[in-house]
Amino acid sequence: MRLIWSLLFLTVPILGVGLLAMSYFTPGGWLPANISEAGPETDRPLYYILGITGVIFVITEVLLVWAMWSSRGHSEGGKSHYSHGNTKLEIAWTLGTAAILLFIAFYQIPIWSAAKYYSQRPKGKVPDVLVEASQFLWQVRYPAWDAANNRLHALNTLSPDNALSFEQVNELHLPAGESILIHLKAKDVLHSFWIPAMRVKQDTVPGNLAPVWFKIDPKQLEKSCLVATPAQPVRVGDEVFTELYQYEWTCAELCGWGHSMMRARLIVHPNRADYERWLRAASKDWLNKTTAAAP
Amino acid sequence: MAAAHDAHDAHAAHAHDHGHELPFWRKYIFSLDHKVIGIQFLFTSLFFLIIGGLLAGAIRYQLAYPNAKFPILGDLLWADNAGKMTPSDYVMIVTMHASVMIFFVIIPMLTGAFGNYLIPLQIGYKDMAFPTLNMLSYWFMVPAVICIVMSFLSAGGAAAAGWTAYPPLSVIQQASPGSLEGQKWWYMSLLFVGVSSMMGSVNYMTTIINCRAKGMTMFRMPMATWAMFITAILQAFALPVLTVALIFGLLDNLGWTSFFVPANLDGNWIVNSHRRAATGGQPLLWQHLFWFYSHPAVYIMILPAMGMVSDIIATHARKPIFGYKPMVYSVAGIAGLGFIVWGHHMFMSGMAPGLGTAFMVSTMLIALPSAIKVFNWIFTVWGGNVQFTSAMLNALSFVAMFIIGGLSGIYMASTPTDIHFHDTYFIVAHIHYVLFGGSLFGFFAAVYHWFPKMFGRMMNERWGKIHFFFTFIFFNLAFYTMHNIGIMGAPRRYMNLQPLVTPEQAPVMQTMNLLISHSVFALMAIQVIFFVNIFYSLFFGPKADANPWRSNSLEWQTASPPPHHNFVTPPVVYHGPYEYGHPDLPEDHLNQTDPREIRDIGHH
Repeated sequence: MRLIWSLLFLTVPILGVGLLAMSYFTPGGWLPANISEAGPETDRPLYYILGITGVIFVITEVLLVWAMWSSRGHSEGGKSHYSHGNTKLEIAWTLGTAAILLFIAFYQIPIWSAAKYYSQRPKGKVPDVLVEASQFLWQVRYPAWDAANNRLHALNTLSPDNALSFEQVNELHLPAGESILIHLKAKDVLHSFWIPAMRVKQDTVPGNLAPVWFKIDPKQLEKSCLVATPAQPVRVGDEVFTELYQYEWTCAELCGWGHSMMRARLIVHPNRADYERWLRAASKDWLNKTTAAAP
Repeated sequence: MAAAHDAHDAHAAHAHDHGHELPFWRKYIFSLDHKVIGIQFLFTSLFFLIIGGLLAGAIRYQLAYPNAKFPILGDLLWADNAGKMTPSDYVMIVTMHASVMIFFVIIPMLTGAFGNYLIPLQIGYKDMAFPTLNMLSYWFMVPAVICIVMSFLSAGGAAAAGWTAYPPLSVIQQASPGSLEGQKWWYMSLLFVGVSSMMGSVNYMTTIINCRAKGMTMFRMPMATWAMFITAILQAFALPVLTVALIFGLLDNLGWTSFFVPANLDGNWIVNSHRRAATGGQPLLWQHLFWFYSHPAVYIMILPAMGMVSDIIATHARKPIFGYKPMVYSVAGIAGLGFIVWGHHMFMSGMAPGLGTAFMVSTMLIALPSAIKVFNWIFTVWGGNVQFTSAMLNALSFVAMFIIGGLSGIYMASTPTDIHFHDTYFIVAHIHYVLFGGSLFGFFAAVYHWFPKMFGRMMNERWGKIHFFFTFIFFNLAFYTMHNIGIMGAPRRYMNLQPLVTPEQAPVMQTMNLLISHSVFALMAIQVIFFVNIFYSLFFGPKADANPWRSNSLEWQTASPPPHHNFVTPPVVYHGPYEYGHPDLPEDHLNQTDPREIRDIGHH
């Protein structure tokens, strides 16, 4: 029986490592794509922790199995090894574990602060878009094109003006290759703005305005996510787009019965020029629609 | 103190004579006996384990077959949705699965059932310090049960804002069908559970501090009692905060106040129906109050299991616990640090990120006492004379699973990796490794171990091992794979886990979900063996003697089941609880009541 039970417990480290390895090597079985410029940096602590906890996991589970297997068992009788403990051993593993934990803790602080500390946000930058969450959709507000001065209006995220900005539902267009600042709001309940491919997640709290910032790395954009190509271009008004990438983003905080339907598309433009071309076309489109709707 | 003890003893003996004359309803229903109250908690939590398990089954069916008609109940419950589960009912079921499992299963089955049963027996006293308060502690579960049932029956269905009940969703009636009536019952139910726990907590602390038998110093108490003691302290400090939060939430939900309702909500439903005179509350306040209770509550749900598992491992390994004092200190360390880590649930909430860093460091540190405990358990088994009983196997499995649950916690404690893992299935995997792999395996171990004491009959060992074997396998298949889909980015509380990022993920996700769901169904089916074993053994199990496991602690030094008021003569304690395998003795254990002196060796 000792053998059977020891083997059963031995399956834990074997399957534990095996299942994760299987996932790692299966296409689509591991982390989502990562198109953020800070992405490799954000993912690095995961691999550190995976390595450290993986080793500790295997060692402790194998020690447990070994302890079970080497125990003399009922049939052989006899007494156990009489010991109340070992102070030196206790001190050693306490200090060792503490050192590992403190390393993990302090190693990651710069990565977290770059992603989230307000002091690290792009300074002096007008927000690119305002994302407002409500049950169960995302309203994305963009600055409208100022035709008179041939530039974009500045986006006022505190009280957006319908003449100076326009809105799209569940579709977030962004350019690659430059730092982006998004302001988040919620209208009714908590939601969470999550773009898995950007390693960005931020709850939206009604009454609070939350900034998020990141930079899309044009080198990481995947061919498999192309939704516009020269062969299959996308038209917006008079403009034609031949290179657009699509990623999905979603709500990560329970917001009611429609929570799992609160999904949206992130459309990445390869550069700023392409993005502004789209803003110009889309705001003209919006202007046409709103003036047509007015009596 | 001695005089007081004598007076108690005379009283005890007197009461004992009349113990059998109590009418049925005084003896088994409105009982003042801690053993009966413990058993009442035990069966109540077993009943709710079935309810919570069935809710889990419903969740898993939906996730495995997101577009299929729900079997058997589909036509009955969701006739107007072609027999498919509705999105609002999915969220409701998720909410109630967690609420039932946490507040009606794990907490009552560990502190309620075993806390009540074991504390007086292990410290050698006739009952709790306040038997009437103890009875009330159980009977305050009755209004809690009524309220949680009413939640299911109310208009709009049961609470559906998650077990965390984040406002405004939970307090704006128009935000969710569950927030109409169900949520009010949910708040009230938890208030009653809180009162019940508080009564238990006060009682446990008083009993352990004041009522220990002669010679039972604090550092001669078994780990189970130590853990219950520290858990009671945790409850006493954490529960008032939850109580306040629940009352605030209830008042907000009634529309009378705005503690958690911010100004200028402009959801489609609020414009006309919002009748609050004043607004300007802060939703994050609830999260702080809730987690100030609910993070310690995670330890309330695991520490008692840790204590009981320590006792069981030492007994069945026939070896003293390795590092008894470090074990005690690490339980205390977990409890103390447990109060300053709540913010790690809120890294993504909009709480100041700098505060997140502070909570990250404290959370990393709380892994330290947990790691110490794991090493000590492993080294207790090492060099032991392990008896592979059902109790021991479940206890060993507690250790093996707690290693996974503990290590996976580091991924969320780490702030940058939490950006991805927060609110994904990685968290779901983690919590189930702690609460099922930990608490529930600990509970199984405790049932197999103390059943003979409780009912005077042995459980069936063969079926116990079969139950363990399959539970172990299907538990791991079901919950380990949740880490995998969590890494892939599967969000929790979604009724349909279609891939989020690329079509590449779709087949992997579907395969994983089928594996998880079918493992859960198998896991549920296997539990039938456990329930049958309990009820069969209750009536037909072989008679147990007073000390079937040759254990040292005081509960085994009296009859099985113990008489009314536990001990015929008050025990006197001479040793710690873990004197197994002392080389000077002919036998391999030394009861705590055995007056023989032994050499103080074995410390290195």
